[in-house]
Amino acid sequence: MKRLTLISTLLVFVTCVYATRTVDNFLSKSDLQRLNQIFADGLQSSDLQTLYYSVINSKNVPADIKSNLCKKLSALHSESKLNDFEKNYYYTGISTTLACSEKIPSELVSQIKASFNKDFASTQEMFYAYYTQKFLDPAVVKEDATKETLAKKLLVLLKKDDSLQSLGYGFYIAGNLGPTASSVADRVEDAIAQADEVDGKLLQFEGGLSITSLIINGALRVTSFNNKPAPLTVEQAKKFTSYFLSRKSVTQAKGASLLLESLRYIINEKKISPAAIRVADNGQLPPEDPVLRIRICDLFGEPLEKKPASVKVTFTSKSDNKKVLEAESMVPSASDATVYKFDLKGKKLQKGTYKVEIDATTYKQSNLLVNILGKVKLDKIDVSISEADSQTPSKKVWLDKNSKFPEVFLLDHQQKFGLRFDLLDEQTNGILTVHQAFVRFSDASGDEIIFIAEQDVVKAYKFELDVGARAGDFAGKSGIYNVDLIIGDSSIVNSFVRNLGQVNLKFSLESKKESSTTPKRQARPEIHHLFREPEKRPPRFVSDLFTGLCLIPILILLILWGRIGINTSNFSFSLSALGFHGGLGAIFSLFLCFWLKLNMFQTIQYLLGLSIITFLCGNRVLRYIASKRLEKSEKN
Amino acid sequence: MVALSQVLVKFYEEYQNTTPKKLKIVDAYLTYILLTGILQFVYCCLVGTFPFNSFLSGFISCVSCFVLGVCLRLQSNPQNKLQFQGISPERGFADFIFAHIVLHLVVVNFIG
Repeated sequence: MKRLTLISTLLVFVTCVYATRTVDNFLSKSDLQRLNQIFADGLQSSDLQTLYYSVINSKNVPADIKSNLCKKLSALHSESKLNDFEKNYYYTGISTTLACSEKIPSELVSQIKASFNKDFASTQEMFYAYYTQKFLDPAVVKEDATKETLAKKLLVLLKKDDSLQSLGYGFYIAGNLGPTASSVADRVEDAIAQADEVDGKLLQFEGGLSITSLIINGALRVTSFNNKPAPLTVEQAKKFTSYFLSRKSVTQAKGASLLLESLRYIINEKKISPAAIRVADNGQLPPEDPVLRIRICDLFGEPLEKKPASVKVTFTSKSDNKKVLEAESMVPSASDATVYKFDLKGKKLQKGTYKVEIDATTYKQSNLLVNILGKVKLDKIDVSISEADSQTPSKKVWLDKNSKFPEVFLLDHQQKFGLRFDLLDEQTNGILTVHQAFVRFSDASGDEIIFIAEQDVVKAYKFELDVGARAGDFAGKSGIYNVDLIIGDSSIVNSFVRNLGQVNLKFSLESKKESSTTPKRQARPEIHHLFREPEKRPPRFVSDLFTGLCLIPILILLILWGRIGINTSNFSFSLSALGFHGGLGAIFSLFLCFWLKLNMFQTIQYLLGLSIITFLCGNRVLRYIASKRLEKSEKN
Repeated sequence: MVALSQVLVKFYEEYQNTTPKKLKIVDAYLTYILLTGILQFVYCCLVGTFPFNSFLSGFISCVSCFVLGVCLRLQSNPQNKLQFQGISPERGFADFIFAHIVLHLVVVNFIG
């Protein structure tokens, strides 16, 4: 048991250490500009909600738009199809924020006042009524008596409905009310626990941005108002922030406004608010200027209020998970307060992908990736031409840097053409493996045939063309081909295509003929279904003979019956007897027709009618016979 | 050999005298079915079973007719009256007819 406790404490400790307080995204200048544009466009809207969120988020509304808006506000309010309490809130909100000279109609004001003192159906209604009243007359909502009544009403409403939305609005209002409502703050933890986790990275509430934002804002408000610690753990704050940042592409004024509000609330929680740490540029470090630039900023892209005392960086190679540089100090950039630099010159890092860990005291980021780019160097190319059946080359040429084949090589179908070369890293002179190493043959008509050069055991690239065997790839087309070497890789800066010269390929005539008569695409032969071959039947005579033989038993039957002496005198020519025997006859004739031409469905149809008649008649006949037999036996 | 012939003669006489006429009629019918079945079997031995479904339906038709006939005979035998109480010979005959209709529908369907 003791050990278990120890382990769990250790686990908690470990998770605390790894609670990094960082996100890898933030609202950049262009994001903020885009959001502001949404608000600027929203000012032109005729939707009350959009207008409200645009107005409260616009710093200075131009005078002409403002006067225009104030004038049409009353009309928009009466046209709006929103709930009464909601549209009253937007109306008073816009009117108060813009300080319109047009007064709100007095009957509307008295209506708002009346509804503020009534009971509310939900916390949502209470929320809107409260803020409407606050816009109209802020003094009223600050009175202690009002706060007290509202707090009591709120507790009743929350008891009735404890859905997430209801709680969210409840938290928000309780953040303004006195000590009576402070018990609401105790419910924050439960509400937060209901958030859904997405991929272990995001936390959100079911219902999306508006409900998540509502609950987080409300929760942070009510706890800070009651001087309680922030209701989110560092990890939760990070995940909620990640969620909000993932929604930064909102297009609605309401969504944009809620997003900004939530991020502001989170930033204000100094103890838990995460910082954004990410690579400042594209993370590709060229070999001439290998400087890692990391941006450390708050969620709005501003420098952190409290600069980290030191920023350390650790490089781990992604391919073999080996730490190559550990806890090296980064220096702040002179030009940008949010950027920290680390110069890799002289560190002699191999090209490749590295995991970068940043440790900025309180903030740690461990999942950044950077590519250190390299330069490839191609020294010598070993060109060889040999006979197909021999191993030793008949001709061998060394190509230096930039030199080409000394002549146009003539290759016939019994020869092999080979290339061999080493790719080296320019800095370290180590042997490189690249993503793409191709040899391309192209002729004057633009036809291209591309082969892959492969590495052998000593990591040298090798390519061999057996001219006769490969005739099919060239469609047997003899002639002069350009030979190019293509080297490419995403982690080298100087990928290249180098022309090596020309070769004259001569294919044999047969291979040409063969390849030209077999087009690649053509109809496949048609598939016929094969029924079982009927076996040989006996001659007609044998079949007929046995058919005839089958009649003999019938004859025997009739003779036997005759000898026994069938009693047909009992047969009464009543309707039912005729129906019975006729019906039976008809049924068996029907079966004969079924055999010859009808199908099962038709047969069953007719059989149904016939069998009903036969059944009824048969029933009567047999009953009659039975009764006669009984009479007889009684007499005896 | 003599005893065997005696037994047979005795058996025949007993049969002729004690069996009701109705049962004799049914017996004649059964003989007819049996002979037809044997004929088909001989044909299949001589010539072959192709087409197999036709042979099967014909032969099975004989077998099932025979079985149905025996059933009818059992039910209408006065000696078995106690076992088939409440089932009159007429009822038995009706069942026989009904079973035949169903049987031959299947046989004709299978004969191809």
